[in-house]
Amino acid sequence: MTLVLILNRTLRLANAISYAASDDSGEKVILTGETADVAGIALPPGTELMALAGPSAHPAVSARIVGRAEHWVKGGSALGARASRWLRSAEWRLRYVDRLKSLFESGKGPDSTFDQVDVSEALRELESSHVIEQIVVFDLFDLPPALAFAATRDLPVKVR
Amino acid sequence: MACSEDLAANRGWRTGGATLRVCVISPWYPDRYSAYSGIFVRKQVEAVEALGAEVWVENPEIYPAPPGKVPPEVWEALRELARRDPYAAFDTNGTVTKVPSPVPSRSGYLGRVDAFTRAIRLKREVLPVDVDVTHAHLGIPTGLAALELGDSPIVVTEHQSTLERMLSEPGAVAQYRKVVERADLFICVSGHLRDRILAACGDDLVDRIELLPNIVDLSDIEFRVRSDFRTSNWIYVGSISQHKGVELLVRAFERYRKVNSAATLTIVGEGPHRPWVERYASGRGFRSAMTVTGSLPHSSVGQFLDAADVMVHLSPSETFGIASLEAIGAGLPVVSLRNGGAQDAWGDIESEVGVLLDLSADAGDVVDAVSDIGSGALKLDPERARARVIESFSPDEVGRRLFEIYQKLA
Repeated sequence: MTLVLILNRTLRLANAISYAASDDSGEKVILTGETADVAGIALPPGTELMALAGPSAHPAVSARIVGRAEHWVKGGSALGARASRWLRSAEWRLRYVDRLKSLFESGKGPDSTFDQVDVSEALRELESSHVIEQIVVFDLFDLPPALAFAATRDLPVKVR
Repeated sequence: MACSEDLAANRGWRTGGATLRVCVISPWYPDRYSAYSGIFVRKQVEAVEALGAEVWVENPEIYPAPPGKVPPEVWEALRELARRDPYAAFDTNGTVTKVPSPVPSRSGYLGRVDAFTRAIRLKREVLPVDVDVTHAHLGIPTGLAALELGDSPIVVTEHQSTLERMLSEPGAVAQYRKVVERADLFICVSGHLRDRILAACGDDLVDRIELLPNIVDLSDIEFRVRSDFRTSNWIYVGSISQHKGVELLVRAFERYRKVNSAATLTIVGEGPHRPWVERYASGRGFRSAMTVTGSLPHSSVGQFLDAADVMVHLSPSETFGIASLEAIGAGLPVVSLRNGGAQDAWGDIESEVGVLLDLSADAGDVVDAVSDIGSGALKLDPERARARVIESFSPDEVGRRLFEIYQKLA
């Protein structure tokens, strides 16, 4: 029986890891679009990582790359801190442009939550190797596909 | 009769026998993810509960979203889940309910108002509150959200240190003025913070703003007299964030290590600047002298304060400064910046608790201040300082005053 924790973007990664650490019910799988952010972080026992394909996993906007660049420019100076903030801002812009580009390429409008496709597919893939017991959503943008997936299987879904 | 009215007041009843019911809305509240966030809000809640009030807490939490409008299907999914199972959508622990609120990037503080308002409204559809008074912590986003929700009467307490940044957003000053003018009572936790609001929003609001300090609870913090003037073991308690002055802290500590190679620095807290702090210490060769505990329950802070010799807290801006006051309560001398909150809260015991440095202080000034304490030259009076903290900021004192405010408005 597997608890699935979903967060396309890793901005609430610490929350997901903390939740996984506090749950001792069994196996846990973290589904995320930014596995690079999780690489190097000690996951709680019994927790594995599975990648979601999607715009946020685009190498050009990898949070890991931004993190390394941030490390390089920062060095503790005020100028470095400003450069660091600029990098973060640039990261958001790149992601936004990347998202829009993908949406238009896929023929969907800018209001489409195309991340749904990735989450649904990942859950179906996971289902082939795990018995999913519950889904816990840490990114609200992942809630629609999680609910749609759970509805046909009578699985409980939680937002945390 | 006066006698029964007193009894009613003591039991948390409004005159007439009804229990006083309060809804607290705060974006900060301790939870499984952060033991420190909003601990001062929880202290207030516990203090008025101890007087018999029933308090429900709505804790809107920012769920970061991409720039632009949040797609309707996200809100619809949250609504669907809430209707099916309210507690699956709104994590509830006792009387505290978390309210997930999708906030688009770059939507600013007013974007948070929209998200909080919509999410709390959705929460109340399935988990309603029926209260006598709403107490919102922070003017924007939470106070304005409470107004948008139509709550009445409303008490608003301001204690955010990033006030100027928030008010620099287009339209924010006008919205903030609306909150101050329409709230039934607007509270600041320090005179310094009130002055900042008046400077940004207009002096004409002066009569609309009352002062009520935060609670400083010393029940888990033991007092110990330090008579040997040791200053080897530094401690900082708080968020590891750039705006808290942690860069100056580690640079000053690095400099102090040159005159005292046995010195240690304990950082009790967590925050986005932790990687920088750890990298800096490693790169400069003093990582082994530094301990970073991460986020801990507030109840365990006392043991770290007990083991320390001096608190060094170099935040350039504080609305109140609870961490310094807790250190004073533990008998520690404190080196702090004149950050607004510190000099307000320390008041006339400033010379007896440590050293307040100008905001322009550099690492050398910090080391000099610590050395002054270590020399025993300062006339510190930790017993009187602790007594003053208890007298002014104890849960009993602040809770009583807050309870009276609620009663008056209910």
